[in-house]
Amino acid sequence: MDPNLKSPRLERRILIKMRNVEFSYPGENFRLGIEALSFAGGARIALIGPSGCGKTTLAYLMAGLLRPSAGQVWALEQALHDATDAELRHFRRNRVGFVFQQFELLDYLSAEDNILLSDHLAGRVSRDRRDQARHLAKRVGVGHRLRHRPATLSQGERQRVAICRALLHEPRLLIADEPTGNLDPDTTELIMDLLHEQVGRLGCTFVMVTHDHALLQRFDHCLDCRAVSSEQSA
Amino acid sequence: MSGTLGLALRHLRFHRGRSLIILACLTLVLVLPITVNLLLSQYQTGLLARGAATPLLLGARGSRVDLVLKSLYFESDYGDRIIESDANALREAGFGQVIPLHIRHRVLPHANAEVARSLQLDDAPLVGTDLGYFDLRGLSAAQGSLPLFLGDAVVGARVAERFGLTLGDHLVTRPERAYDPGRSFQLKIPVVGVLAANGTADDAAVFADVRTAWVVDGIGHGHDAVDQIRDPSLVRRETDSKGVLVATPKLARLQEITPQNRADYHFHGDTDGFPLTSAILVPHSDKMRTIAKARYGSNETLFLLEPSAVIQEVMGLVLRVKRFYDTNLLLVTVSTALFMALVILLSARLRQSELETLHKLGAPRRTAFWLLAWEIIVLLAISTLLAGTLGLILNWLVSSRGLSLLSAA
Repeated sequence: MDPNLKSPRLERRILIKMRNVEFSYPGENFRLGIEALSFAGGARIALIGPSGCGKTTLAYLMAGLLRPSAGQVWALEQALHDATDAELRHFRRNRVGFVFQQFELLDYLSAEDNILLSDHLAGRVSRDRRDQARHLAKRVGVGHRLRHRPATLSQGERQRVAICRALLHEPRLLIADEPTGNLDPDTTELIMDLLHEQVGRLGCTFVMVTHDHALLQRFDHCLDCRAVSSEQSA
Repeated sequence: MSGTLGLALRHLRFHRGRSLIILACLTLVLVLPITVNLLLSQYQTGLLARGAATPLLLGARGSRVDLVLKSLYFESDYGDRIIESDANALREAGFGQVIPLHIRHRVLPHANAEVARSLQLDDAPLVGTDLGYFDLRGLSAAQGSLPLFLGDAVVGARVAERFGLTLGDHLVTRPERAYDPGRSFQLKIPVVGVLAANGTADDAAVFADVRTAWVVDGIGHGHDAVDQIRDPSLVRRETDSKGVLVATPKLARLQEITPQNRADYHFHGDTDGFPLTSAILVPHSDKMRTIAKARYGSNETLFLLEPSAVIQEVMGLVLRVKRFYDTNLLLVTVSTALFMALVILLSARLRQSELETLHKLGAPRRTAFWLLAWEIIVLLAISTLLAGTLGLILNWLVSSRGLSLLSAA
């Protein structure tokens, strides 16, 4: 936490910044409160804590998926607390990459089309983009599985496809929500190596939600969300 | 293909079983109204055109609709008859050209004649008329000639195709009553021409001179010259009151009119009393049309109708019935729309996690709508196309294969 944050305009190197943020889900007792928080560009941040403490909520606030009840959130120099829904969607689509615990691949698309999902949604898939997707898939070791549908891929392969989908548009912020939660230890190591390698290659900020303390040594910062959340009495 | 349409197509293909079921449901719902509308439109056009091409129709009072259907389509149970003198009266009044129509008998290929005595084999109406009919309808012989002589027949294009008839083949009239040789007389008729198809009821009929029809009626016949017959059991030597030799019932009637025996055919009685179904009047002018209609307006036994007006009435009735059908169609459409809404709702629920993922990835708000909407649009478009194609095929089958009620199949 950094209580001495200055204007985001003056701190170009700071990519994520929160000030006096409050968040709660309607009808629930959970509450997240952050007085001040900032991370520099290229930082690798692990969000830890027990289930229900607000790790995913905090990551989603950074990614513009959730809007704070109060306070200010800047990410990649964009004021997410003031942004319209369309601006937030544009922000996520173009500047943020997501990797989920359940992979969240579309079952009716091939691995290649899943990687190219954003381009499909935009209505254009250029030949260059397709080449780029194939190159990326080859780099993470699923180049030979591009024509397969998710149902025929192993867990590790699915997560690698999901990582390719998250990285194809070269995001400046990568949010991974327990990406190794469903993987065995060997595959977990493999995926973590892959994620860090790609994050290093792209130089993006990496925020990962995890329960696995064995992985924390790979991160620059570790934030225990119990410190910023609370359960209010009914 | 990319974009939401591309994704929708991939989703439909992936869930092809579900897609095919919905497609079949929609196609079945759509095919009936499309077919009915196509057929009705075709019938309406055909009926009105044929009605308009038949200026006036003389017939015995009774059902106007039956008279028109019988005279224009050779169908219906219209049984009232006029007689030749009624047609002659029109001729003598100088109103215009009078074309007799005698539509009572049916014919079938000679090869089927024996079987037809006991079975309901396919047959065709025999229309006795004169050459004026062919001019009126614009009919010409694609092969052979028109029926210029007594005993000749020309067949419509569809009859020729259905029975595999060519020039020189023979038709035989169908006995009116099976197992009644005493009453039934079967005349063997050679095919001297095949008419070019014109897409009307004429394609499904056989035409002969009206005198040929009278021969089938039994009014005219042919047999050996009685003054040359020596067998006393065939001819009684004494003459009747008019001094004519009288044949006994044992004298066999000829069963076929040929160039050699054509001269032996003759009619007994006054031709003025010979029966006709109706007569077409082609007036010389509008004035003649008006005068003729006025003259027959008050006739107690005869009609002089404008077939187009009767057909308009029939179509009015059909369209009233169709309005009930349209109401039913509206209900079916509403129920189909509700069914589709249910499909969309269930689909949206099943795809909730997918739509949630798209939301997280920043897909525009309209993406979810279009993903579902495109599926419905694509399914509706394909099913409409399929139903339209099926409707056209059914329409073609009905119109070209003689399945129509009004085609004199």
